[in-house]
This record gives sequence, structure tokens and C-alpha cells, in this order.
Amino acid sequence: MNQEPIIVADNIRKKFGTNQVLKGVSLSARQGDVVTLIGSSGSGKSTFLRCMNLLEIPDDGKIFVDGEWVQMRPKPRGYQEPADRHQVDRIRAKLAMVFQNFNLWSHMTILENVIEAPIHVLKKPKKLVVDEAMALLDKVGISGKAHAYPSHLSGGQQQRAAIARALAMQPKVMLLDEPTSALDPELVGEVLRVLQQLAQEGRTMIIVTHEMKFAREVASQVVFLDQGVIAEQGHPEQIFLSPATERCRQFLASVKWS
Amino acid sequence: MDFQLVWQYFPDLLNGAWLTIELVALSLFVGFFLAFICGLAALSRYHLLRYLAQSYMFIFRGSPLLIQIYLIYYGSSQISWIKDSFLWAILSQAYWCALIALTLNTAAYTAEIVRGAIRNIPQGAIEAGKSFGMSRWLLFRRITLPQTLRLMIPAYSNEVIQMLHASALVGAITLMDLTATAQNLISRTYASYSFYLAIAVIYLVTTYVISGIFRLLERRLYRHLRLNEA
Ligand SMILES: Nc1ncnc2c1ncn2[C@@H]1O[C@H](COP(=O)(O)OP(=O)(O)OP(=O)(O)O)[C@@H](O)[C@H]1O
Ligand SMILES: [Mg+2]
Repeated sequence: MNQEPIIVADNIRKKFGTNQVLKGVSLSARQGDVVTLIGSSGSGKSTFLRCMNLLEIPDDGKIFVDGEWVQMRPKPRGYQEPADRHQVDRIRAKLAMVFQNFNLWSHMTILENVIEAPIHVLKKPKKLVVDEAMALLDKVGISGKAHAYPSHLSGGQQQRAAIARALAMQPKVMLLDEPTSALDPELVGEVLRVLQQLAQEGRTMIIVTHEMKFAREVASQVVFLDQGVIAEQGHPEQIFLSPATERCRQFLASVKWS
Repeated sequence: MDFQLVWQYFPDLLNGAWLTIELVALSLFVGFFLAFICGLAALSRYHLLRYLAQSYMFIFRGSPLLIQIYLIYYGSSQISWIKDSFLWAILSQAYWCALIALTLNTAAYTAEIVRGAIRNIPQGAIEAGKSFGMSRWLLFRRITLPQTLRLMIPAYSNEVIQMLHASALVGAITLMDLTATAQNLISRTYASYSFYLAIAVIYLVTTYVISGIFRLLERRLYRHLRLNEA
């Protein structure tokens, strides 16, 4: 396996107003890694994930994706901003994101959602993209819904469609922010099964999740974020069976293990 | 109601109706584009643009259309540099003054509708677009614009109907639109009841057609909300 990391976040800091949400967070993943980010509400997990694809611009720190560092330049008043918008777009296209609330485009059918970015961002031929999209929808088990609109689907189906939409970009890394948190309990399983399968296929994923059982089973690396710093990080067995810090112990004791 | 009389002058009424429809259609068409520019400017992160757009909207929504028509038509004739410039060729004509007033007015109201619609687009849809590497223009064209148009329809169909009715004010500067034509016929025949009723019906039918067009549009654009086709 390739030894160079595919994604690196180096010493990321981010402040909202006076609220220092990330206080120097670093993470790196190689191809095939599945990193699960856990931590209590408000610890900065989403913010950190969103810094990686620059939906939030880190005040300080660097991002590396697939061979290139994101170019930053100092802002006149403030911290830093991306120097090259095209580079940001290029990097985002390699990091498909799956959101807690699915964020499908409501005015497009499921199939249109899936083919949108490959056609218009990656500029792939439509015919090819449609075939790939149908195969992906089949894989996540909703090919029958290809021509339905998102509002006609259950939450679990919508999230699986969003996963198919992300996969259609053939991303280097998938970023998933609590992909099952908005779902009714009985729909969580169908989405986790899809993610588990992706992990087995060797997809590189960084997943924020409150599903501890899943976080433990699927991860190659677990990161416990606490008040804007990584309090503990390591192999799932180590984190879940013998957490080194008191904070992590408390956190694991407080969450439910459905 | 004197049908015979109305029928006799029906061609005049149709001429008037045609001028009304022409003024309303042209001003709506141009006003729609202006409204998008203005609505986007009102949401811009540049202070100056925002300020200009908001002032424009405030002025044209804050004063009566009739006064705007008067100001453009009579006001311009009192400003000497306008009278000396090429603008006078346009601003000396009631038709163009009415068209300009109607256009600027509907653009201001529609800009407010555009601004509200853009604000109501779910932020997640925009973020999803960004997260897949869409450029700003692509994002606007493929996500923001179609969602804005859908959110605008109910308020905009009202605006179109209001414009149809407000256009009756252009008679104040000598234009023979539907209302002015009727008034003219009444002053000659004294059949006020018949003619007012006749043009009310014409306005009603036109409004009905406009509503029908918007209903068709909604049927098409709101497919994604209809549950029975899943
Ligand atoms: N755009 C924003 N503006 C201001 N404050 C923000 C913004 N986004 C996040 N925050 C704040 O940053 C802190 C961390 O938020 P974040 O969403 O990263 O936490 P989280 O670990 O993902 O929590 P959760 O498990 O509830 O999703 C919170 O206190 C939140 O209020
Ligand atoms: Mg979060």
C-alpha cells in the first residue's frame, strides 16, 4: 500500500467569534484508512471535517490532499484565505462529502443528483456517467428510485442516494458528517451496512459518528476530539477497551451502545 | 348593460387592451432581468452594491407608481440637460416614460421577491454543490437559479397580476390603454356602467389566463413536491 498520506490536516485552528473551536488539530490518513472521529457535542468534529474540504477556512494550519498542499495567503484583516479558488474546487472534487441532512438537490431526481457533478465538474460524458450512476444506485439498493425526487424517499434512502452521489465523483477520500444522526432508528442499519461495505472495499473515509459500535468495527484509526484538541487517538481496540485519558473514559461511558 | 354599444366600440377596447398587454409584458420582461441583478446585488458582500440596490428598491417600492410616472414624464421635461441630450427623444414620449416607470417599478418589487427566494434556499443545497467542487457560476446556474425560480413563483404570479392592474395608471399621461380607452368612450357616450363593466371583464379574463399560465408552470416546476408520482 502507498505510504504517502492521501490527506493531511496539519495543526488546524478555527475560531468563531471568541469561541476557539479548534485548537491545533492534526490528522493524516493513507489510502484505504477509515478514520472515525468521535467526541461529545460541540467538541469541533464537524468544524474539523469541514475545514478539510474548505467549507470552513481554517484560521491557521495546512491541508494536503492527493499530492498538493492547499495554497493559503494571509488576509488583510484576519487569518488566512485560499489563494487559488480553482485549486479549492479541484481539491473539493476529490473529497466527496456526505452530510447529516443528506443535502440532496430537491429540484433534481435521484439520478440527476448523482450525475450532476460528474458531468459538470469532472466533465465526463453523460452516457458513461449515467451507466455508472445506475450501477451505484443499484449498489446502495435504490436503483428503483432513480427517477423519483428526493422528497419521495425515506431518510435512509435519501442518505444512500447521497452516498451514491458522493461515490460517483470517484473521490480520493470521503468525508461523512454523522451520516445516520438524522435517521429514524430503524433506518440507521441500512445506511451503516452500505458504509461497512465501502470500508471493506478499501475506500478511504473520514467519518464523524455517534454510533460507537460502528465506529469501533469499521475504523482503522479512532480519533477522540475533546474541546478542540485531539485528546486521544489510536487503534479502535485500544481506544474502546483501554482509553488512556479520563475524558475519553467518561465520554465512552456516557454514550449509548445501541 | 348596453351590449350593442359595447360591441360597436369593441375594436377600440381591444386596441386599448393590446397597449395594456404590450406595456405590461415588455416591462415585466425587462424588469425580471433587472430584478435578478438588483436582488443579487442586495445580497452582495460589497457594501456599496448592497447599499445601491437597497436604496433603489426602497425608492421604487416606497412611492406611488403614479408619482413615478409623473416624475419621469413631466419631471424630465423640466431638467434642461435632459432636454438638450439624446435622452429627450425618448423621455418626451409618453409611451417610453410609461414603459420605463413600469419597468423600474416591477424590477424593484421583483428584486425583493428574488432576494427573499435566494435567502430561503436551503443552505445545505449550496454547501453540497460547493463540496463537490462546483465553481461559483456553475453553482448559480445549476443550483441557486433553479431553486430561486421555484421559490419565486407564488409571489411573482401576484406581482404580474398587480402589474396588469397598476398599468391602468398610464392613462394619466395620455396613453390610450384599456382603462383610458373606456374613459374616453364614456365621455362620448355617457354609458359608464356598460364600459366599466366591459373592461372589468377584460381585465378579469386576462388575469385568469395569467393565473392559468402560472398554474401550468407550477405543475411543471413543482413535480419534485408532488407525492403521487413516486
Ligand atoms: N458557523 C458557525 N458560527 C459560529 N459558531 C459555530 C459555527 N459552527 C460551529 N460553531 C460552534 O463551534 C462549536 C463546535 O461545533 P461543531 O459543529 O464543530 O461541533 P460537533 O463536534 O460537530 O458537535 P455535534 O456532535 O453536536 O455535531 C460549537 O460550539 C458551535 O456552536
Ligand atoms: Mg457536528
